[in-house]
Amino acid sequence: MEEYISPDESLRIISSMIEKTKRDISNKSQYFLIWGWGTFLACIGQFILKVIFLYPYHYRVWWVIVPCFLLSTFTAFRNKRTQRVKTYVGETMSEFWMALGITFFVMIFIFTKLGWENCYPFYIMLYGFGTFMSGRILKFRPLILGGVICWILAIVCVLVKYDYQILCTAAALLVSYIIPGHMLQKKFVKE
Amino acid sequence: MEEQKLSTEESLLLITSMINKAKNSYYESGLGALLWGFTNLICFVLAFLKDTHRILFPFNPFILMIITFILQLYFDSREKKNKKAINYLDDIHKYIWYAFAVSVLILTLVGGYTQIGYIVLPVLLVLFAIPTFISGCIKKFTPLIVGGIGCWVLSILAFVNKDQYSSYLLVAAGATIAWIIPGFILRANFKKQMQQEHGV
Repeated sequence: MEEYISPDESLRIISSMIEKTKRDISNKSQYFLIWGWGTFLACIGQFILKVIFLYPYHYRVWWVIVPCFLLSTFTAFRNKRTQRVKTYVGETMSEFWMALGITFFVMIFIFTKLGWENCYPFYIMLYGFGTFMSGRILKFRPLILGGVICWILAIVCVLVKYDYQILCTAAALLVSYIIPGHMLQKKFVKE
Repeated sequence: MEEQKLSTEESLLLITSMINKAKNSYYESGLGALLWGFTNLICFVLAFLKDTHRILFPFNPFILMIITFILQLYFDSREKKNKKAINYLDDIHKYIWYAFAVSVLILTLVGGYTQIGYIVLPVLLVLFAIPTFISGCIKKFTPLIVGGIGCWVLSILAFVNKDQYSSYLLVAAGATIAWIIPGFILRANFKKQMQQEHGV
């Protein structure tokens, strides 16, 4: 027998799908917070070690990326296990961040040759790319704004000394990952 | 008033017709990919020939991109006029290319200011890869995904490459695998689809 659905029922199905997508969106805050706080603290730590303590191996703080990577991978696995439906937003977001992840990885090779003293404007530019696009995918304005500010900071960054470029990166992470991440989390808790 | 019932088949037909109305023919037909692919191919090959003194070129070859940019604006405005609906995918697709354009602009400014020279070329290839790969994933179109991965591989090759000038050719190759080849495949698919829809 052919199954009939009324326009009302169709709308209800669509509404429930939108609600599921909304929850999926808000849940993405975890990744922004893990990477945002991890790299922000690394920037501040590097600045303090280099400028205040004049420690020659100041760049070692970037090993913090390893626990960030492990934590976000663990979170992703846990979310995948509890996830009941696959949403378009979720899929697009994971494909997008996979592409950016590969890009960050390839950039490591490039900066090994180029010298790390030039890395920050490029990384800020990529943070801008990532957060602007995430904002568009999730239809979340604070992320879009954070992305635009990152692009401006990437240009400002080349005009200042390396030490202050570290602080520019910390500022970029604050406006693009940490603040929007907490706003997204608040939205998730509310919902 | 009696409530109108739609069969599952009718609902699906309605959704399909909405998706077709929202299709962006400029991108779907491969025209955008071919336009930018060939522009990049020509510009980078000319830049290689000019920098290696094989030809005398009267101006910076990258100025040619302005013509393509004007054409892009024309196609975009034409598309906007004809389009009846916008879907979520089109929106994402459009913004990823906007973000790419802004990033390339920043790369040019930052690269010029820091005077990193030819190292800008592998970074450019890395940027080529991002929107190409994502577009391929969003549209479930393998040639674009392969093109994106190819650009990442080429960027590593450009970075280990000792001859700086030939990096121009690697970028030209990147434009070919990321945009020209998928563009031709898209165009062939689009024509086939049009023929089926119009019963030609």
